[in-house]
Amino acid sequence: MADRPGAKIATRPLHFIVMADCSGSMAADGKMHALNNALRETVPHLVDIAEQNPHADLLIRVVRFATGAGWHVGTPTPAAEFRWTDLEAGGYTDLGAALDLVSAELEVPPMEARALPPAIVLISDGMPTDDWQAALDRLLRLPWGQRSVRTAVAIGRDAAREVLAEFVTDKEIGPVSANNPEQLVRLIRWASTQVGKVASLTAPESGVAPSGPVPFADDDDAVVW
Amino acid sequence: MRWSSATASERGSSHERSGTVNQDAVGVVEGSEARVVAVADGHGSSSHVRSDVGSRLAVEIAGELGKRLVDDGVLDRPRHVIVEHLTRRFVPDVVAAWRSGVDDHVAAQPWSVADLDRGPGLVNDPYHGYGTTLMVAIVDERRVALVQLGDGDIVVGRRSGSITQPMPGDDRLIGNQTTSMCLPTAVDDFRVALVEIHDDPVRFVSLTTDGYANAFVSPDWATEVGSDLLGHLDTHGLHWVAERLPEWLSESASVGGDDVTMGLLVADVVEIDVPDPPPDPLGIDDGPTAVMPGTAPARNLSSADFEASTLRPVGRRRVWRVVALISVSLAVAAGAVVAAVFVI
Repeated sequence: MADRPGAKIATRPLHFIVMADCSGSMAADGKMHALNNALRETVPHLVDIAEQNPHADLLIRVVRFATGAGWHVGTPTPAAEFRWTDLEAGGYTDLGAALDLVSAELEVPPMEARALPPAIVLISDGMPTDDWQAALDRLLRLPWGQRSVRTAVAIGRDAAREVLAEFVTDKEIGPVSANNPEQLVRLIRWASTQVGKVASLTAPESGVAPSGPVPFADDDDAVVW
Repeated sequence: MRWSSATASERGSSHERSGTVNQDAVGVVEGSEARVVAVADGHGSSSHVRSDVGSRLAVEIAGELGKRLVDDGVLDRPRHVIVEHLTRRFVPDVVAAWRSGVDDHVAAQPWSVADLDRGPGLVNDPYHGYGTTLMVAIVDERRVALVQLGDGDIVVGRRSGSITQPMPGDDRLIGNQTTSMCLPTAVDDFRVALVEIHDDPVRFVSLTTDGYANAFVSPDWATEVGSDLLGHLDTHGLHWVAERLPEWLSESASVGGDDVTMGLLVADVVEIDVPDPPPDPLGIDDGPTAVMPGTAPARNLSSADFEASTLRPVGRRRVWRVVALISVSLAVAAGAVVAAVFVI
């Protein structure tokens, strides 16, 4: 209305950042292919979450890390406009470089002070090859880094679970493990539901929202990775 | 100078969808030359099962104790005494009374099975279930005393056009996380500010829950809103603003999703002769005074300070023609509700 004090009003940004391991080991046993499929299948789920939470502006970005790190999708993209393009594997596992990329985006600005807590999911199958610990410390020193809702999916038995355990917000749940493509789809979908939990918390709270139960796999015996 | 006020509270669209009540509360206690406005924002997560009660309780207590503070002549004391009183007596009293009120409420209405399903820890920590923020403005013809716990915004507009947010920031308040009446650190987490009116007269003081600011895209929303409010008040007056306030807040609540509440204090533009405040022995009489969380002045108030402030004859008789005014916004199935104003 014309008389309303103040300028433009809008829904609050809710940033969802996927950090995807694209190291050479991801090329083995179809892991890269499975990750691309899982993320592609998660997009409609994110669209549903966005529609269920019209007061939040769900914006998706993707970081790829291998030898160094870069934005696969660098522009915060509304869920309804998001189209998955495949990642390719090859190189080392420079997780620290990826964490620094994300940290730069959690500074205010460019991060909006009025945003909802960002949700970050880290997906990896191996041991980092750079100084990830220092980079994680830098991220967690940022107010938005501390406030972010961080989940991790470990792909296969060789994943550095202890590293991912330091990354996640909910230490009781810790990183979740996917040992086959079906589990990977299910767990990435679970990780994305954390976005919906963040979106549902519009009013202030005196603590951090729990992550909720991890879905139990019904095909645990099918260990592929 | 005389103060008038307007309040409104609108339920957020996300709460309408989830069937959750408006968890904000706002209240005003009016005196002839002084006024107390309190705004509280009950926490949103499901384990804070009675945060609407907690916010209402906080507002009622703040209004009552704020009125007592004025009646005791505390605002007539030197600045450092006022700040000491706010940090050492008013804030602890508010927190203690709130906790006592929670205890009474739990005793009268024990937790249900459904409550304990949502908050298993409530048996050991009942205050969590009532978690809320609190902002209070206590104004007279000379000063604006402000206290705040948790998020929300206090904006002061002056006749010169100056718009300020006198309360010091708190870096912990980010991404819906807030300090709270329900935490054991509540007393230390309060922030305090004291604003002088005399040099550049204050035109309005607004207290808004965080749902209001979060709906604005611009980081400079306070300046923009404040300037527009000044213009509306000068052009149309408070009655015109008060009539439109629910609709303005409703827009923010609809877009941002959170409950949105405003307590607005407006000073008359009529000049009156106000005697100079007594000299301040610490020499801190110029400009606003602000106290960060956990940085309350180290000097303890002496009993003489309190006796003086309590027994000192009040310069002019303060008549509380309206004893209490508590507006609590309650959700209705159809949607947002304008806070009702109960004048006793």
